[in-house]
Amino acid sequence: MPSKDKNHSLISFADQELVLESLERDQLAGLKKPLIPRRRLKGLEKFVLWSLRIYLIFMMAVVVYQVWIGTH
Amino acid sequence: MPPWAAVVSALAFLCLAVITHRYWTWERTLLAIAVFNLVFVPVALLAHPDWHSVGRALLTWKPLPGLSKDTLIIVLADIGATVTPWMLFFQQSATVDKGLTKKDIHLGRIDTVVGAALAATAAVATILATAPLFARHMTAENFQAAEFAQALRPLIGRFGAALFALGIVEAGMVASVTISISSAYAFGEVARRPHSLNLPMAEGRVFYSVLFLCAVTAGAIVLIPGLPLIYVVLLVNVVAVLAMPPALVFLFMLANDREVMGDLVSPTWANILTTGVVVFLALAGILFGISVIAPSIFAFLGGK
Repeated sequence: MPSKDKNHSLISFADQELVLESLERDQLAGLKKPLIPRRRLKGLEKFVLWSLRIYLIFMMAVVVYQVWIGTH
Repeated sequence: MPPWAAVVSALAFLCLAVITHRYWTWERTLLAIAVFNLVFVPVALLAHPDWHSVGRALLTWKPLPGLSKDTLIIVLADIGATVTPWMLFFQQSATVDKGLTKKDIHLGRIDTVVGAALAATAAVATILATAPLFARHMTAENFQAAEFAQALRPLIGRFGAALFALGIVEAGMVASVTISISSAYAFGEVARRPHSLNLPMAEGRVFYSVLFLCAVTAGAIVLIPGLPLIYVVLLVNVVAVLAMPPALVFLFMLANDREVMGDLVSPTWANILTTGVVVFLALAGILFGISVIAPSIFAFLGGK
């Protein structure tokens, strides 16, 4: 036991920093979970986002129609 | 080389890039390949462009083709190949995977500017390299992807054509790897599953499955006999640009959320620029829609 404690005390601050640095990436990847609660959107924000959703669906339909024209 | 060999090589490269389960290795592998994007510069020089005309075209944006549906598709596809929604997912997940923090923002900006400048240089070089074909009235209607390199051979020589082919292979490889990873990141975000290139296979099974599924599906589509690949590329990029306004508005809201961003909220000048880009992209998309479903109105607006 005493020898273990001795070894432990040999780990310098620089070594600890190195270990923490090498672990940092994984820790950050592990933290990629939603920590902030879902935002409550205001009227204008809802309107803009819904308009853009409709715009996107309409445009995808236009692209499908364009492909149909192209293939016929 | 048969097409399937190219697809298998690209998949093998993808495996090689992610096999260490470290973002760092993936990034270095990809950057090593991406350097070959600059092979278009010597190819452009071999095409012996008229530099006076090049300078004039860069300064005056002329000659511009007339406004037609085909021109609109090309312009939209060009924009869609440059600014795409998948980049948003990729950029934010890659930032986390790389372990960047607030103190890295300055270097990140330099990274972005240097990357954009190199990409623009390669794009201009590609246009210059293929200019001799267009001068001889040979366009994308005559060729499919790699056939451009063969067509360039009598004009810029065997070495130049080989370099051009190498550039095309590199561009395709980098795009397929990056976009499939971006799709896996996006899926992980939406499905709330672990998503990181630093994850070991056991923990990131879903992430890696989506990644390889996307790459294999893309490879299978490319191998469909007789598929007009140029048309597919154009169409995919048009879809990308049409999907951009909602993604940008979402990013705009996120970047202006003080609860999330703290003192790093987007400045006014950046908000003005973003609004301009969103309006421009939305209007361009609407114009494309009009050209497809109401050609008479498009003609009334000056289109051909």
